[in-house]
Amino acid sequence: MNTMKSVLIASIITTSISSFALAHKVNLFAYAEDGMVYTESYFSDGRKVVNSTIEVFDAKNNRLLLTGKTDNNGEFSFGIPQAIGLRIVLTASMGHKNEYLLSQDEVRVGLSEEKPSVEPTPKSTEKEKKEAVPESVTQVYDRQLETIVEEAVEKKTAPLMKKLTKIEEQMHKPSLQEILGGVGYILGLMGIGIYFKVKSKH
Amino acid sequence: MHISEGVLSAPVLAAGIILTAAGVSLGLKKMEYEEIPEVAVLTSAFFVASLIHVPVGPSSVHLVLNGLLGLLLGWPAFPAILVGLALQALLFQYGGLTSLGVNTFNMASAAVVSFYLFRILTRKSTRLMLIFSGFLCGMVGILGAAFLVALSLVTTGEAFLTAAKLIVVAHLPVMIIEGVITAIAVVSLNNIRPELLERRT
Repeated sequence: MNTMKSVLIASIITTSISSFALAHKVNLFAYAEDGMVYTESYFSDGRKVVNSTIEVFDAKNNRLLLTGKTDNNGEFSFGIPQAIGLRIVLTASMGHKNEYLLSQDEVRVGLSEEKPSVEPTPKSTEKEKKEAVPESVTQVYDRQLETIVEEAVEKKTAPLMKKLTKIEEQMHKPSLQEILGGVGYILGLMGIGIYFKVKSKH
Repeated sequence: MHISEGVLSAPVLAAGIILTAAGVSLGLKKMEYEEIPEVAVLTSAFFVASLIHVPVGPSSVHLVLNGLLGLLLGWPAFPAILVGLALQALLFQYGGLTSLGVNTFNMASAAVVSFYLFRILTRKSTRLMLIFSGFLCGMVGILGAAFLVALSLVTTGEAFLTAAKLIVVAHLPVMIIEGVITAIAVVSLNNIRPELLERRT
């Protein structure tokens, strides 16, 4: 009984530690692709923000469009509601909050990717005449080619996207220069303090 | 511990600014000329401590050091913590400029409380007593700050008891680590520079 109790308490403590913020900042990153908006949230030490509220607003008039919760990977995705700028707000526990602005252009690009255009290009019609292949066949061929190219590009860019997110994460971490700069400011303030105290002494 | 921008309502932010302004002016008045370098060194320690994450289990924690600052500085901990937090907000966007008043008050008043609770205990006492009071001082700094953070968040709709429990439980490992670090600092200061612990009345 006693051991069960202690196990229970220990598990409560560890789960609450893992899911709540000890860090001092949350970061939010979002991008639009294939008619969806993908968001990733993490604390300043790189931990994922789990089970926290995400609200999506119209960037222009602040109308609430939809809300959701981040999953176990700190991710949340939703279909693009309208081709407008989106303001995505993340609220984590203990007074942590951050937002990300997704511009109208980015959202538009994400929407246009959803329906790949199937119009045959002039180049293919030229080819068509030369080789005298029936129209429908080239169209099918074109469409297939397009999906193949798209898939290939996506395969190549997916790791790039991941890397970009990583870099963004890294950029939010304090650098040595910033830390040393902060200490420098404190030393400067010390000098100012001493200056005024000495002046008032005389 | 750092409450972000846009979380708290205007009256809470205003109250934080007023209380912090009062604490800072009192701290500046009590700060002697000879103490300024010491205040600056401890400000730097406070500024850097929050940036270093120590992994603990599934999560990571960082030191706050507000208990130690309070014990060694007393009221001048207010301007010290204000400067440290302002630089963290400006350079790393931890917390925020509008919530600076509330954040400073939360951490600095806990520091001043541990100053009044433990300065007598650390003065000319035995080694065991020093370790004990140093440990408690570090814990009280975190506990007090966590309590005040929970209190500030009540106005946002988070129920006080759940918020307080959550914040205190989440900070348990920090409290213990902070207590150990503060105890080590107090004991070694007592060996090297005992006047730092005795000077203030």
